Amino acid sequence: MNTNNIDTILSSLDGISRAEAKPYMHTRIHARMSNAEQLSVWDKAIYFISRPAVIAASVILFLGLNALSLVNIGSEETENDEAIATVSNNVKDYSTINNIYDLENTEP
Amino acid sequence: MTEQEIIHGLKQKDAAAFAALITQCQNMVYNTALGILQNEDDADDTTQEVFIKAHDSIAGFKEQSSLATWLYRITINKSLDHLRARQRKSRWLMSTWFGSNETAIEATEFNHPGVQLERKEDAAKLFKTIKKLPENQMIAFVLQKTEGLAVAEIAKAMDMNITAVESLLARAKANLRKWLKE
Repeated sequence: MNTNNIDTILSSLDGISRAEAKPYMHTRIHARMSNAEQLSVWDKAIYFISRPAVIAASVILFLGLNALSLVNIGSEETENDEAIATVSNNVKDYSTINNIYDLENTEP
Repeated sequence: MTEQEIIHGLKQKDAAAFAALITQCQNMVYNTALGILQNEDDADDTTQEVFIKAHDSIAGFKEQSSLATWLYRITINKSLDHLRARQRKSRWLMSTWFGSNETAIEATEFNHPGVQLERKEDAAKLFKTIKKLPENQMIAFVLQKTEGLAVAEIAKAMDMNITAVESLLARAKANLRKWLKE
């Protein structure tokens, strides 16, 4: 495209007149404001919950809580393992001092 | 109704003041939104949002700028919100259906109703190229061309200094010239 054509295109908006808004703007704005006021608490709650930022924050919170609970369960299991190991060691110790008594044989 | 009366009335939640604001400024807001969004339905929707925002936040208007400048700022922000939402939607559709990260280029060409008949074809080419500009350059260029604002007025509307706006306009024109040549 030559320079003259480009200049013509660039100057095509010179002297442009203002576009006019569609009729009954005032009435339509009022209707929109009335509709917004008539929204019930539930409508507003649903509108709030369905916002992308709220959804993203909820998902992050949910995943965070899950991760936290998994970490906690892991540490509890470690404690339980330690407790079980201690008990089984103690049982082994007891077996060395346990005697088997033959209660039916009354003879010395 | 004067500007002061409108501002005072809006702060008192006066319906007549709100009606006067809409009557006096609807074409200014609509034309600005139309230049940015290049879609009549989106511009109409944005115009309504701008006036509702003005109605709800008039208490925060400190009168350090004119009412028109304040409305221009709201219009720019609302239009950019609309534009970004449209681009996000377009990018999502393109990546979902075509596996591409590029946004879909709108096939329909935009004809501004205020352009003279003999310039319509050139203006449509220019509007198509304007879409490629970075946001700030596009806003400055649209305000200058479609609203006929002076650099100082654009600076106030965009909350920038005059030198920065002059630089934006120069870069916008250079980019448009480069892309039109291709």
